[in-house]
Amino acid sequence: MTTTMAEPVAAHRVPSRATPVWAALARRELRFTLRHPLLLAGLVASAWVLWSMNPDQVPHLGGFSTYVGLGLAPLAGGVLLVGHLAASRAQRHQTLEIESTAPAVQRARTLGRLVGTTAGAVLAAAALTVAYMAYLYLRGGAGTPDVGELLVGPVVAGLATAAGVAAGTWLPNRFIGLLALGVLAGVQIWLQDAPGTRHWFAWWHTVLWHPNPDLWIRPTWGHLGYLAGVLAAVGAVTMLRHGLRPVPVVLLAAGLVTTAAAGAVQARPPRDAAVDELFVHVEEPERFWVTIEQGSVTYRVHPGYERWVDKWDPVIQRTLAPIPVAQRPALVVEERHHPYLSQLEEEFGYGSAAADALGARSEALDWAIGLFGSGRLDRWPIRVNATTYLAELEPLAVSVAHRAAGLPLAPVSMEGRPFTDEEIAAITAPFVEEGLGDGGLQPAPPKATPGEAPGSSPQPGDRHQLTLACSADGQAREVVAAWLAARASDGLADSYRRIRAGGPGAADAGYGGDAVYEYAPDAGPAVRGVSWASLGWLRANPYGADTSTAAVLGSPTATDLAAQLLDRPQGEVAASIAENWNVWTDATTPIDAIVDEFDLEPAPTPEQWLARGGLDPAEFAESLAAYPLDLFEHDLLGDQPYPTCR
Amino acid sequence: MTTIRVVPAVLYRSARLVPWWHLVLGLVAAVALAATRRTDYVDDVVFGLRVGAVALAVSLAFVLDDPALSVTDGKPVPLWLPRLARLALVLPVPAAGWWLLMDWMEAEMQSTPETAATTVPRVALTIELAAFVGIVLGFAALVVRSGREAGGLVAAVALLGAVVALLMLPERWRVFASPASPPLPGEAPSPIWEVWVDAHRRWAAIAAAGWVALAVGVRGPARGRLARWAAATSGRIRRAAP
Repeated sequence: MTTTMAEPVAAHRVPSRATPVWAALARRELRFTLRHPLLLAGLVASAWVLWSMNPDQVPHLGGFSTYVGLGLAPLAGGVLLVGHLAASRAQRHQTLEIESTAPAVQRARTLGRLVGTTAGAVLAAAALTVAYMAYLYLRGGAGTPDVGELLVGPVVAGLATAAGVAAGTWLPNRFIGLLALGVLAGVQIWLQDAPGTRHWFAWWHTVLWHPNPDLWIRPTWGHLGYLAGVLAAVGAVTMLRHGLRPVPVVLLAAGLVTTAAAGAVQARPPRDAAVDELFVHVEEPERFWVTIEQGSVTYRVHPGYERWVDKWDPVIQRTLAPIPVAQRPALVVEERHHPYLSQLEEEFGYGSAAADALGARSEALDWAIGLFGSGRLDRWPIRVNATTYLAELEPLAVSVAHRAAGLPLAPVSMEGRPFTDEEIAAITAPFVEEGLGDGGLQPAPPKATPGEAPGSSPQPGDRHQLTLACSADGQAREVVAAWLAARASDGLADSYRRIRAGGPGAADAGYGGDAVYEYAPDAGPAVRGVSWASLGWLRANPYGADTSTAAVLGSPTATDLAAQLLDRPQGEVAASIAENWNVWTDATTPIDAIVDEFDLEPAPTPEQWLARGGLDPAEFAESLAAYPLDLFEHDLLGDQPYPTCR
Repeated sequence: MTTIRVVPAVLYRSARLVPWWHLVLGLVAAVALAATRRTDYVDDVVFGLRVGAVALAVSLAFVLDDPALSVTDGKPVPLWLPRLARLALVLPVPAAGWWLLMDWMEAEMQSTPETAATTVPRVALTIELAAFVGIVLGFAALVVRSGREAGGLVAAVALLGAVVALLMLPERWRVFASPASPPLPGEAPSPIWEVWVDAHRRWAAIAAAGWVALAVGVRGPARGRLARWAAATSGRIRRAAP
């Protein structure tokens, strides 16, 4: 007879005596929570939301850190219900009597649920946050993640779970969890757009559209303290269900004090030192830049943005490739931080002492940066916004081509002469803004005193005889520049071809903005006009963005001829242009020379442009007469032609 | 004929079983949430009403739950009758609340001279509410049809998930459109108006799908092989086919 010993039955793991009951229960609840379908669904939904936010933007890790609070909202909603279901489990399953026979007091069970579910929610949220940052980094993200902003998401998820447990502990009904979710959502909806500093009392504060997050002043840590205080108070309220015991009472008091104190901190105006630091960043970026030399190009970038050079450099090198090495310009590309100074007022309250203190200083700088940042007065390096969009690679190609072809970079006066440094300084003084207007073009100004430079002594409300662009229409170098840019950028090449084929129709389809518009002059009926500039090679990029070379008008002629050049054998075109580079980029070389050399069709007349767009020239008589100006510009300037680029 | 005779009794029993306090809390929540956007700006008002509509719809999630289903299995009426009776009793409450809520929001919007003529797009927003209610009741009915006694929580979560999903739709399928003014007679409709109209065609389709699901779900337990398998594997109650 053979006796076989049975394998010992695996015993359930029994917690050691040293482990408190609540901790053992918390571990079990943690496992339940992490496997709960609602948590998993919340994770998927949150990942989807995070993935969908600005997917076409090159991520800035600091700025995108503020998305985590909003992005984790579906997860927070899910775990709130998980917490509520955990707390009301015995009630729902009608197992209260069975549960009461377990060797643990109710208080320990509640604490276990509270800690376990909250920890599960925080862990899941933290994991998703880390994964999100890793994904952004792999997508080319630059800058530094803001740890304080990142923590908001997990803390809100923990807070929501604790609220769910509290609701389920006090009112174990299925509907109460949903009601608690409604209350938390209501607080967010109510406060997120509240004026002054009240919006900081919402659970999170996301800024989706921003020029540069590095220059924000946000009371992130104060806000985290506020959230932590609320979380502690909610946890204490949960435990108070089992009587007024010292620990929950103390925790509640501490939570309320923390909430109040941190709430006051987050609503406080920014410190002067923080504002000063911000202004230093904007006014003296050279103190922070790292310099990287690559061939004939010098990059100046802030620390953390070095990897973006690898994004910019191929575009620049492709643009410069056809140019003989000796003829290539020495380029400087600066990565600028644009401040969001008006954001300061939004964050800290309009009309507040803080806003007043920022006052003229921020307005002046904001305006000046706005003007320089748009490139209208850019005479020096190529400037790239720190929150560079993928689409901005096309303007970058245009900027490089513009410089390589020797087109003017400085704005010119109506007499066609470049402004002096003093005039530039005067023009960019803030009080001239009213005089410049939107387009920078103004009607005939008061006559300057003989010998006095126009614009040298601006007064508030002055109107200056100023144009910011010259016209290179008819010069071969403009076509060369447009071709150089388009061969380096598929998007740009595509838009030039579309413009050539469809004229204003293509521009209306997203290339260069709305080319056909309604114009209502001060006197007379409204008429339809064509924005000729939107057909021009400088604005005919997929986003219609101004480039940093807008000292030149950018003619539709160059767009058309560049599109034709792109359809010729590129090797032959490049060789021919390189061979006679100096000729093609000479301001006196006419456009006919390039038409003859490459056997191109003559550029269309304004009437032919309209026909390409399927428009009736008879309906656009005013716009045809104004070519190449827009109608509002023509009303301001009359028949004065743009000065010719020299 | 027998069915008709028992309707009053079914209505009476249903009235006692309906979770009225859910509806009351739902109405309170809808008013409170909408009030956060009670301004003279129509976009704000529409946003507030949409949030209120979701709250109202969530409050209806538990209407079809019937914890006593297993013990009242033998009652001599078809299953759809008490469910329809509940819906008939309940639905007028959020409907009336919704109309009053729109009135209240509109009054605030019209309180300033600049927006005195601006109105709430009642029909369009009511279609959206119908879609939310259709989603929540459709899910609740389908869950109950599968043999569960209670599908309210599943339905509420499904509605919230659906709202998130609808918010994330790509631009060309957008349903949460900004309100737009209709074209004047003889004028071509503006692009914003066309987007608004298209969005509400989609809302109407969503509402129709939800209400069809409700119509299917209230009929009784599913009898297909899949439904039997689902009921057997999840330990839910099983009803013998009549």
